[in-house]
Order: sequence, then structure tokens, then C-alpha cells
Amino acid sequence: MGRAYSTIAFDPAKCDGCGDCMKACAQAKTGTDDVARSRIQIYGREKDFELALCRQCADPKCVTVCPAGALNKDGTTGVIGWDASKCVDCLLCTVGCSYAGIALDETAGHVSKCDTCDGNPACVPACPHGALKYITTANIYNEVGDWEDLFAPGLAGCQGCNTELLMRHTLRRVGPDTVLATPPGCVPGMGSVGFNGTTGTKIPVFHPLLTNTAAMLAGIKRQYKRVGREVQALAIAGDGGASDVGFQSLSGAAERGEQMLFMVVDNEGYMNTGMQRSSCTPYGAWTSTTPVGETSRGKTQDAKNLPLIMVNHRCAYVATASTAYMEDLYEKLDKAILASKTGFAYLHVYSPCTTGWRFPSNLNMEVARKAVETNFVMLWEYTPQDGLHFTKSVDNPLPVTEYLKAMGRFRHLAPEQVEHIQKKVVENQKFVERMTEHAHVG
Amino acid sequence: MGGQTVSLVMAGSGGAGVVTAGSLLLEAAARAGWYAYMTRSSGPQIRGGEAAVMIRLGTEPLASHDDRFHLLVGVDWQNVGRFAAEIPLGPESLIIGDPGEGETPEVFTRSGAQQIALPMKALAKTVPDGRPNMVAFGAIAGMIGLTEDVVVGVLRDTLKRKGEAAIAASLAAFRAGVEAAADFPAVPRLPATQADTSERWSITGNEATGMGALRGGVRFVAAYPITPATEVLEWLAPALPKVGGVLVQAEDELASINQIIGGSYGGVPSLTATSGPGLALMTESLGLAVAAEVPIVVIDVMRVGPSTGIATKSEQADLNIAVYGLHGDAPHLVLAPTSVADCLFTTQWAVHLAESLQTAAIVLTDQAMGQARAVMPRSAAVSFIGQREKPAALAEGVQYKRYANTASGVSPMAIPGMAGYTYTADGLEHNETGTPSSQASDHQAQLDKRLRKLTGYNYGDHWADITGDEDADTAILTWGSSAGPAREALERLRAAGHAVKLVAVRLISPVQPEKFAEALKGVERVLVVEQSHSGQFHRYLRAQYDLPRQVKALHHPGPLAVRPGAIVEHITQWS
Repeated sequence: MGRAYSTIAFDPAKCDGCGDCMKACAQAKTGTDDVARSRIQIYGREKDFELALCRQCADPKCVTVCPAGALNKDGTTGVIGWDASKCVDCLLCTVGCSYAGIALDETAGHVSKCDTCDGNPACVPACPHGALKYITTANIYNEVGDWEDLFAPGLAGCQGCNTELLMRHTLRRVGPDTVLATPPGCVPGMGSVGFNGTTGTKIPVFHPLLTNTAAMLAGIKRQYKRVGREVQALAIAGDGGASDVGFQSLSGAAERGEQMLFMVVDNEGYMNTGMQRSSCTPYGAWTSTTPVGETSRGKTQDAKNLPLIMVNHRCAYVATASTAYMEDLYEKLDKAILASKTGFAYLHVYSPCTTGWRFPSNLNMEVARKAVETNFVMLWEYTPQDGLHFTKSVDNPLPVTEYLKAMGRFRHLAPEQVEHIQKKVVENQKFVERMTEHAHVG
Repeated sequence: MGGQTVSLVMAGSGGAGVVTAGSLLLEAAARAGWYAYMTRSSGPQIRGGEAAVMIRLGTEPLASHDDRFHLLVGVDWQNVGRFAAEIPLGPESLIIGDPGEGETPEVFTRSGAQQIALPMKALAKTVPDGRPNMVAFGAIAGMIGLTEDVVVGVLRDTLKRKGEAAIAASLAAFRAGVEAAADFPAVPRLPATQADTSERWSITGNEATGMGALRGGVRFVAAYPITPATEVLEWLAPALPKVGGVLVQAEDELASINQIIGGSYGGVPSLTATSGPGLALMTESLGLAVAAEVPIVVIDVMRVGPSTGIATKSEQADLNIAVYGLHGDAPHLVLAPTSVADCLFTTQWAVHLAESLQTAAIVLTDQAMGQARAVMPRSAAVSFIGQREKPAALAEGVQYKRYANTASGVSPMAIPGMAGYTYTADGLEHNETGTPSSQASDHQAQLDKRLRKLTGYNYGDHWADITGDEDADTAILTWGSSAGPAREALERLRAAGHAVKLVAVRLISPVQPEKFAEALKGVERVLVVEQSHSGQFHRYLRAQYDLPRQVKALHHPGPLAVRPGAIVEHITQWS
């Protein structure tokens, strides 16, 4: 499998052509304010800005056309490096590049190009609008890409299912020495338990009842411990199966410190059986049992904050995560797996549901990201040793309407309902902030 | 049953739109003046599973599916072969498949049915936004005699919100189907009718159950979603507030049954709906309702068990747990509707009985009944309504005895808060006042009383539906959704000159030995029909009733439906 590399991404919709990125680059690379010498160039007048920047191509034309061997792609970083000692200043490379990624620096008298400032590009933080991002998730691909996908291809999830994405990553990470317990819900419903005479998951799966997943898994883990085998006990349960009917056994297992990783895929309701509300369904949301009509405007109660309840069990590890923040998710997975060797680890992953939340399936990541950017969902982690802290703090959150408007399930909201949700978001944020101040050392 | 009927199946992978097309077909048939009966079958997975709608249309009301289907239309064949056992075909049947979707599975073709190619996908592509399921709908409509004007009306009404373009696209695809099937081999064609359809209903068993609850006076429902009972809740959720009631979605089945026990203790007729796994969780609390004499109704829409089983398909195998599942000696009511329409009556009656007798009533419907949609004559309204005996004014200085050992066994029940009527409702054994007691005499007295109120009550003629020849020496004994095919079998047998009687038991518990003996007077042989692997109903009858010497049992597990032909065969080949 080929390597993937970190890259600078540009969102033209957010760019207003201010030129701060070019100034930052010129400063960093030439020590001057001469933006003509910047290796990143923004073209355009009032709108429709375009980017001229080296893409660090996988199949770089500049490298092939260079007659002097002065350009070379670094296999480790992916950066195309320029060697001044070999360059003959023929400028053929500038003709070869389709992106205007390498150009003549007239002052220096040589070509110049982006070297990503050794993985810490100066232009990215300089952009006041967030139009530039340095995407580093390639590391995940490089690391886990070769690991076996323990989930069969062609599962029966809805198109664009976020939970499938989450499961594939999670199973890759926990590896084959795992027993998966997954109670009725979307996870078995999409085929992890195997339909059609073949199994969907390439590790042992036990499909327990909604009431008893944590208890059943605790029994399995204890048996393996008794016979001295190191086996990862993993539960992947829905929010309904964890926060409603399965809560008693979840709470019991956490209190006893059973050695397992319990992952909750929170799609905020019973999405597998026709979108009924659960105690994790947020206020105002339409579900088939919190309908919208003359006498009802969606759910009238706020969601139960299950991860905070788990913090109050003083679990070995508790964290919230989102698939829109993969590196964060992977870090938490690693910590949770480690913690589950000695105690109960709980990972609560927000998982937008295109079918039940009523949004086009291509907006999955966008919805997941907006949830975090508005502070509707907060990403934090907790250990008894270090207490609770944010892993991604959003200091200037977008108004919650930016999140709500993306989904059909909130379409009916009256202004006072939106106001209620915004108030709750602020309240929740303050509540968690207070917990970070008074570290919950247990 | 009687009249002319045609039976057909539309099948395809999940998302092929067969359920949508089937629903449109049913609606159009209803408007054309025909009666209809539609069940559906699907796999448990979220997407890419298989789905089928089985539809029977007729000129007279229908109680059951036929033995075989005249027509099977496969919009595609992905995994549809898995339904083969549920879709019996014969040499007279016709299979329509899309040649672009591959070969018809061998499990279907081995029936000897004639095969016809209909390029549904290709025909759909000739129409902007055309869909293959609408082509299938058109082909079927043309073959069975459904006219376009009726279909146009249905499409207009159902697709109104999607706009003119969507209606035009559906209609064009529909026409392409009609045209393509014009010279296909014949299947039974139903005659046009001028019937007055204003007194008919298009209703599912689950909707009828909800309506029965409402009419019986239920004003509080707490429940936890479970397939295939959820539609009962979905029907009741918007209906209850209109009559001052309320539905609460609980966090699990333990919560839902205990919420309704609480609601009922507070004086409101209360009900919950679930399926087998939920009933299992509720059994501890059913015991509480029996001991504390709090009226409640629990609907169990049975599915294939045990455990998660086959959540989307039907079986009659919760009889044992419903009758015997409670701990201790806990007499209670177990009832079962005998048809889609009867879900209304039986639920309403169950509410009435639970309230009158201050006990728990379990109503056993099933997936085949609950999720079946029937176009049928509107049910007559019955007057049963939940009415609890309330205490009369107390004389000065007399203590209220909540569990007074009355002659009938029913003790007047006060509502908490009534001055002078304070009492403890409890699951601990108690004396007449409700105070806990571990005395043998109190236990004996309360056990007697709780049994007496059920056995001494006059349930009238509603304990069973008895039809057929009064002096027949052969009887079919059945219950629940197996009563449908049994009714059709009875008609066929009688039409062929056999004298047969049908007893479809509605009141499973408490047993009615005298009425049962009366119903079976002169009967020398009995065929017991049910859909369970172990023959639960047969064993129950054996344990509770005196049966004639000659007894045969026709029983098999779900999800295969009992077919009328199988019953007829058992009777006619009885030598």
C-alpha cells in the first residue's frame, strides 16, 4: 500500500484574498514582507480566489522534467525538495507544473517552492478565516492502512452510514484478539452479526440482549482471565441500548471495574427500528415517538449526558469522540484500550444518522463537525488520575443554528425552542468547564 | 372466501420499492370495490435485505392467504429466494422477472410455474424518473383488472406532496407496465364492482388494537419500542392526546409495565404493548399487578422466538409464557384476537375485563395479524368500556378493606387520595385491609378470592368464535391468526359436503370447561391448528380440557403461515 502524506488544504469559500498567508510565508522563508517571494500565492480579485501552491504530487511532473536531478520527492515526508547545488536554473520545472507550485523567485534568481516548513506551515495559522488547513490524518492511513479490516465488505448499513466508518476503524485498531458484544441496534442491523449465511465480522461476536451487554461481556472477560488469555473485551452498543434499557448492566460493570472497552455509538435514538426517541435524543428533535404536529413539537426533554454519568462512576477512562476528528478518536481509542487492561473504559462517539436525522448522506462529516464547532458536542477525556479536560476546545463556537439547520429533524423548531437549545449548549459547556477546573480525582 | 380472489406477491431487495407499490395496489383495489389482505415479509438487516408484499384481493371479505400465489413479480431477485417457503407457487402460477436482473432462482422455478420476462428496469428508463416498481404495479394492475382511472386517483392523493412531475412519472411508468403485460398469460381477473365502499376500513391489526384500547377507555399508555408492536404505539401516540390521554415512551419494558401499574393504581385504565422479549421482562410486574389487584392490559404482538429470534416475522409461541410465565399462583386473563378486525374487539374487551376483574390481562396478537393490512367491512361498535367497582361511602368508624373477601372476589377499589380510603397496594401477601401478612389463612383467602373473581365471572359467548355445522362430528380447534386459514378451510370443506365445526378460542385463560364441553358436544374428532413448534396450544388444551378421543394436531413453527389447504387435507384424509 502506498504512503499518504500530510497536506495543506485550501477552502476557496472561506478565502477573502487578504494575503496574510503570503505575508507569513514571505516572512518565514525570506525574512521580508515581499509577498511576491511567497511560495503560496492567492490569485483573484474580489471572489473566486485560487491557490498556487506546490501539491507535493505523488507523480510529480517537475521532478520528471528536471534535467539536473535537482528536484526529488522525500519518501518519508512526501515533500518535494529542491537542491540549489544541482539546479541549472533552466525553469523547465515551472513549465511542467500544472498548479504553479514552483516558480521563479526573481530576487533570489532561482526557483522556489513550498517545503511545508518541515510539517509546520507558517501560512496555515496566519489565515484569519480558516481557509487553510494542514491535514495530518494521513498518518492514520499510513499506520492502520495495512491492518486487516475485520469487518466484511458490503455491509447492509444505510448509504453514508457514519457508524460503519466508526466500526471499521475501531475493529482495525482493537485487532483480531477481540470478542465483540453488540446488542440489538444499528451495529448488528447493518450486518456485523452476519446475515445471509456468512458472518459480517471476522472476530467472535456475541449478540446479547439490550438489557445485558455489559454483564454478558464481563462474564466472557473473566473467563478469559481465568484461563490466562489476553483477550480484548469490546462492546459496541447504541445509545438506546446503553442509556435506557442497558443502563443498569452498564452501570454495574463500570462500578465493578470490569476490564472492557464499552463503546457507545450515539445516533441519538433507536434508528434501527424506525427512529424512536431514546434518553440521548436531544430536545426538540423529531422522532417517530416525539412527533411534530399540532400538539407536539418534537422531544420535550433534554438529552441525558451519559458520558458525564460514566465519569461519575470513576471509570479508568471516559472520553467523548467524533468521527470528524479522527486523530482525536484514535488517540482516545489507544488510551481506552490501554485502560481496559486494568479497568472499565468508556468511549462515547457521536454518530450522525443520515436516515434518522434527515440529512443528505454526503453531509455526514459536515454534520459531525458542526456539532463540535457549535459546542453542541464537546470532545473531552477523563481519567481518575488527571481528571477531565477538553481535547478540542472550541473557544468561539458557531451559533447552534449552524448545526441545527443541517438536519430535517430540527426543521420545525420554533425560535423559543432554538433559544432553549442554545441556552443548554452554553450551560453544558460551563458545566463541563467547571469539571475541568475541579479535577475529578477519584 | 367465497367470491373470486387473486393472490400475488411483489418481491425485491430492500429499497426496490415493493412495499410502496404494494400499498398503492392495496389502496387502488379498495377504491375499486374489492376486499384485500396484505402481509409483508422482510429480513432483519437495515439495507440490502429482501422485502416482499403478499397480497390477496377478492370480491368478498378475506380472512387469510390462499394456498398458493397466482403471480410472483420479482423486481429483482437479490436474496428473494430466501422467501421461497413463504411464497408457495404451483404449475398454474406465473413468475414475472426482469431479464436484466438475472435468472429466476431455482427455488421458484422448480414449482413448474410459467415464467415471463418483463424488463422493468429498462421500461422504467424510458420514462423520466420512472421506477421499476411502478412498472411492476402497472403490469399487475393490467392483469388483474384494475382500471387506470382508479390508479390515477390513488397516485394523485398519495403523491400530492411530491408534485405533478412525480405523479406524471409514476403514471407513465405504470402505463408502460400495463402495456407490456397486455398479452401476458391470464391470472384470475376480478370483475369491476359498483360496491358501496363507504362502510369499509383499510386497517392493520396493530391499528385496530390501538383503536380497541382507546374505545375500551385506556387513557394512559407507557411502552418501549419493539418490533413488531411499535405501530400500536405509533397509532396511539397522536390519538391519545385527542381524548385527554397520554403516551409515554419508557426506557425499557420494566419501566413501561410499572408505569402503567402506577397509572392504573391512580385510577386510569392503562395499557402497554410489546413483543415476546418484552413480555418476558414484564413477568415479575405482572405478578405484582395480579397480587395488588391493579388492572392492566399488556398487548404481546408475538414474533418468532425465543430470544431476539426473527424479529420481523410471526409465530404463535408465546402462549406458554402468557399462561404459565408468572411466578406463584397468579390467575390472570389471557386473550387472543381471531382476526385483524378482532384485534379491536378483543383489546376493547380485555380492557373491560381487566378493569371489571381488577387483574392483569395479556392480549396475544402476532406479527402476521398486527402488521397485516386488510380492506374489510367496518367493525360494529361494541359498548364494552373499562369500569372499575368503586367503594361506597363508608360508615363512621369502619375501616376500608381494599382486599375485602367478597362473594364475587372483586373488591371495591379506591383511588389514592379519597378521604378515609387510605390503603397499601402491595405485592406482599396481605390481609383484607392490604396490610402485609404471612399468615397461612390470609394467603389461602386471598388466593381463593383472586381465583374466584376470574372463574366466577360470566364471559358470555365471547370466549370463542364458533362457526360451521352445529351437529358436526369433526371440529377444528384453533386460536389467534391461525383462525384465518381455518375459516377458509371450513368454507372449503363445507362447500365440498363435509360437516365441520370451527372453534376459535378467544379467551385462553381462565378456561371455560362447561362452555367448551357444550361447544364440542357430539364432536368425535378434533384437529388442533396452530403455529408453534412444540404444539403449545394442543398441550394447553390437553392439560385443561376434556378432548374427544380422536385428536390430531397440525402445528409447525413460524414464519411459515398455516395454509387453508393443509387444514383441508388433514380433515379430508382423516380415515
